[in-house]
Amino acid sequence: MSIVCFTSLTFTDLPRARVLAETLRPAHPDWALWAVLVDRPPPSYANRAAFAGFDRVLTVEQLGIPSVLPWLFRHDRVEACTAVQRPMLRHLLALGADTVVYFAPDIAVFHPLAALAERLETASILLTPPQTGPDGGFLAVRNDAAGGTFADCDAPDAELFERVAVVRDPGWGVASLKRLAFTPAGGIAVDGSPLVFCRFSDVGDASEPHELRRWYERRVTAHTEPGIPPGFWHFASFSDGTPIPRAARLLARARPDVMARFADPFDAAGDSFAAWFAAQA
Amino acid sequence: MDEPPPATSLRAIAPPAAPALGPDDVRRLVTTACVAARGLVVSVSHDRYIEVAGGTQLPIADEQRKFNGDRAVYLHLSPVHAALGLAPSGPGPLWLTVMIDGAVRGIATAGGVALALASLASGPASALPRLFVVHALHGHRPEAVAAIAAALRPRHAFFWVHDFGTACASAHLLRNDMAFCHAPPPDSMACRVCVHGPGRPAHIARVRALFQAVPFHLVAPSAEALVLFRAATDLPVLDAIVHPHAGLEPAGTAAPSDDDSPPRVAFVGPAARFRDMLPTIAATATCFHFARRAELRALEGLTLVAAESTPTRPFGMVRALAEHRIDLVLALSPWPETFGTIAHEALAAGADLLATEGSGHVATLAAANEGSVLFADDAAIVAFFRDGRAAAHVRARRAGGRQGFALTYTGSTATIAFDATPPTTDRPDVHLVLRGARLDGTETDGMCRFVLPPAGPEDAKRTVRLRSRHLRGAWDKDAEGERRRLGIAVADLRLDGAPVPAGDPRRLGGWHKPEPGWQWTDGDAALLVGAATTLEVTVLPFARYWRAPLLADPA
Repeated sequence: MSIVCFTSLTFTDLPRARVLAETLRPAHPDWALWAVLVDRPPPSYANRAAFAGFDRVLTVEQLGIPSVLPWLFRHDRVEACTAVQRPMLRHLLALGADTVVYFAPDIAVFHPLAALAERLETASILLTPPQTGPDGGFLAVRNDAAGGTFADCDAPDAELFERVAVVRDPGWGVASLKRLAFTPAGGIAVDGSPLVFCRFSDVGDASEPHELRRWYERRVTAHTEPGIPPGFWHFASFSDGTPIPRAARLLARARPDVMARFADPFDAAGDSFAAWFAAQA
Repeated sequence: MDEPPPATSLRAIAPPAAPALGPDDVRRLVTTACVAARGLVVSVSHDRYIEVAGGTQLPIADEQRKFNGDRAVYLHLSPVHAALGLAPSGPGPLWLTVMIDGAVRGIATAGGVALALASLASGPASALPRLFVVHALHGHRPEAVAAIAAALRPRHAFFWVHDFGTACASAHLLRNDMAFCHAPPPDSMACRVCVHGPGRPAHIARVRALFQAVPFHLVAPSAEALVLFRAATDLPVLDAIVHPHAGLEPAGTAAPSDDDSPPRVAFVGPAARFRDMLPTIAATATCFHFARRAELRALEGLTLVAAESTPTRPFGMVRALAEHRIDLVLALSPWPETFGTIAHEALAAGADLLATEGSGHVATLAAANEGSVLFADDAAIVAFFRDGRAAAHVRARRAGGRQGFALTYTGSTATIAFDATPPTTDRPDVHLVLRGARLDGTETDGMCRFVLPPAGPEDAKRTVRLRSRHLRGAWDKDAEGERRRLGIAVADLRLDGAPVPAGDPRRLGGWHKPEPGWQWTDGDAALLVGAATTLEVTVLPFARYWRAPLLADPA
């Protein structure tokens, strides 16, 4: 069974995504790991080796999303990384992967997802319950009719829900690092089950001292690339460097008629969306 | 001088006034020390044990004294740069502090020491039985340790399990320096998230290469240490033995007391280990913190007592605990102690132990000792005080009269035997050292008679050294309180038949204050013999003398 795993990221997420790659690889060396980059590189940054942990890297502009720049303009960074999951999922299913797995870039994998294949025998879509955030950061979709429908539709119907399973194994995501315990054999367990993965933005108070959090911070620091400004996102500003206000993005969603005039709403030159927006203000 | 002089930064951390020694300097020092010696012991550990109070350093100092007690030379090597893990391998020299018989003689490179030891093969030291003892590898290069062992060509090589530095750079097996890890496989998830994990495979490989190069006898100071060593590593060794650093012998019983004052509780070691539990315990007990002065921290409800056991005051902690009439000593250890010096000292001071499961040999001591209590964890200790059990326990123990113990250090490697050879003898091995050579006499009924070589006209101030083994007993038992190093009790001494009485100025250095009927030497006493041709020494058969079984002639 071919399993393709992907994450979506911006350059700001790159250190965390590299930790995902370095932890997923030993757990599942046979899985292909893809990344979809919802970003363009910072000026003068061109270290392709930073992505060496991934088998393939696609940019959001390679996914065939219609009018991709206006589409991107309607989202902030987190929204864009979330919204790109469906097109990427469709892309990978179309390429023929038997199963596609999504991990949020701030997840680290500690033990193999041993139950994945078994759970997908009776379900086409696997989710994990959110711990503290809006989602569990994990999704697995089988390449069958239900999986395809899930990838295609934005509002799954009731019939589809019968093929959706929520994995409630305590090791698949954890709400608090205080529940973790190290075993004498060197494993990490949650309530007696192996810790399979952990989403580090989703585990309680970030100031909570815990050796696993310290480890994650060390790995993220080790994978942090010089030349990427903190919080960088190419699509955070107009082409003249002016930050794009949230109101502009909301307006872009509400006024498709206006957006139709601007093939590249990020372009601040001439008769631009930026100028139109400034005039509206 | 064959080696480059040490860098300025090295000079800053090297022992004060310690010269940089080249291979020839080391060879000369060792050769001189080995004159008339019975053996040469080369030992390796992580620091200058004579300057540091600790559970590893104390047994090394004891080992050195007892080997010296059999007139063996004790050459000790420690890294000038202290480190928690192994010293990185590299092309630059690794500088070691060179100590002989407890005195710093200088610093030398590991390569220079190996060269010096290899060159002994052609000198008088080559005939001596040689032993190699590794007490700790922190700060050392295992490759250099193997080279030193190869150059020495020892009769036996020993590796002591003071800790688990063979399995990880975290010698106490503390994952992320926080919690005991059980030494899981190096590719385990626990190692992957540990600060010591990334370097562990290379660490293990370097240690394994040492064990493959040197056929070690493994020595553990407790059975618990040996079990954990075997669980943590599969290093090749010749054999493995358990040989404690010290023992506790029953020594009287304290008089029963109806004292119902609050329990007197001692915390020992770093304050960080007990800070959280202190408020609860201090509410029902009188609390003390016993530690070396630099470790003492002022905390509410705590009386600070500067105390430590050192090579020169090995029972310092025992005496301090006893003087403060401590009822309970909290032996808090986050890792399985291989021996537990503090726990031994607590029992010798008449206190009971409060220990937690998982503390290795300390837990075993607590479980075996009537009056000591073993707890599941720190929280259970706190509950013991909170619910009044501690106060009731102490009242009952005071009323019953506690069994006392005497702490006796064994000499560690100095008393290991592979046969029935006992570690003591009634033969003091009295001999002379004259002009750098050993001179034996003949013995009849306790009187040793030496024939001195003819003196030349320039020999009016000729001296000899009257050497012997050291008397067993001094320094070894708290109860004895003897601080002197004793050699032989000389009842009569004659030159050419004429008495040289106690107090005679010809008895130069190395003589203790005369006592009625005899005068003790310190085992290496100087005597002005001038042009005399005979020397007769009558020795009182007082006691037994130290003998290192490993240095005895094979049967």
